[in-house]
Amino acid sequence: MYLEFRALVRRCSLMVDQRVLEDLFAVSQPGLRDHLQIHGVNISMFTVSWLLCMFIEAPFSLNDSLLLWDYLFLFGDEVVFQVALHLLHWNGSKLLSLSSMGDILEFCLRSGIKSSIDIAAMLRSLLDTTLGKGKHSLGLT
Amino acid sequence: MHAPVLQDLHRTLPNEALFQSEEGRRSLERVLGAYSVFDPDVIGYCQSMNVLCGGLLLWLKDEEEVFWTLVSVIHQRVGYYTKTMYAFLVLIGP
Repeated sequence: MYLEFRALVRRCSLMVDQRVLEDLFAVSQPGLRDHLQIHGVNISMFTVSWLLCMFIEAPFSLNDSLLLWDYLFLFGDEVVFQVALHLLHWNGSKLLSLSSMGDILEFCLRSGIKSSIDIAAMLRSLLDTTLGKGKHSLGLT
Repeated sequence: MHAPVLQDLHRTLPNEALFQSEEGRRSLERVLGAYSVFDPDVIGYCQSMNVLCGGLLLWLKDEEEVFWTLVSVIHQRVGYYTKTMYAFLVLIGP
């Protein structure tokens, strides 16, 4: 029974991570989350492809996602969550100005989200603030 | 060859010059085909692996390196890539 449960959880780890992301989003940006919820948008509608494809294709350009993958391989999956939350945060005001489910989904899926982002700066600021704390031995300068 | 792999070859990063060429799509097919033989029971092939593989091919060039990198990326995320996409069934389900 326990093993079956474990197997099931392992099979669903994408869904688990998705839920974790939703919860982190709800805690860190409750205003934006309420706005999306009012219009019937759940962030997993578009973040599933971010998680599965590791941000290739959408919402970044290929060169940007190359940079992102460097961070991903160095710091692990934490980067995925941090970047997803940052993307939502940086596009918060734009998302708040959209007021229908169709507009919001169109904006998020058709990579309207990427245009305003300087990913190098974003990753550097992540590195300075949160990433890899507790991993002192990496020798990064 | 795995039918779903063939189906997705033309949909993989269609804006990249590499995958507009027959040669690029052939290497994609070889790497994904190799993976589906390597791990037939658990995953074989699932959509979105083609995108990962395409990205890796653009940067690494060498198909063998791409293959092993793909293996490690996928094995790090047990439960993301599955034959039947259970996760989606649960997300969509009642």
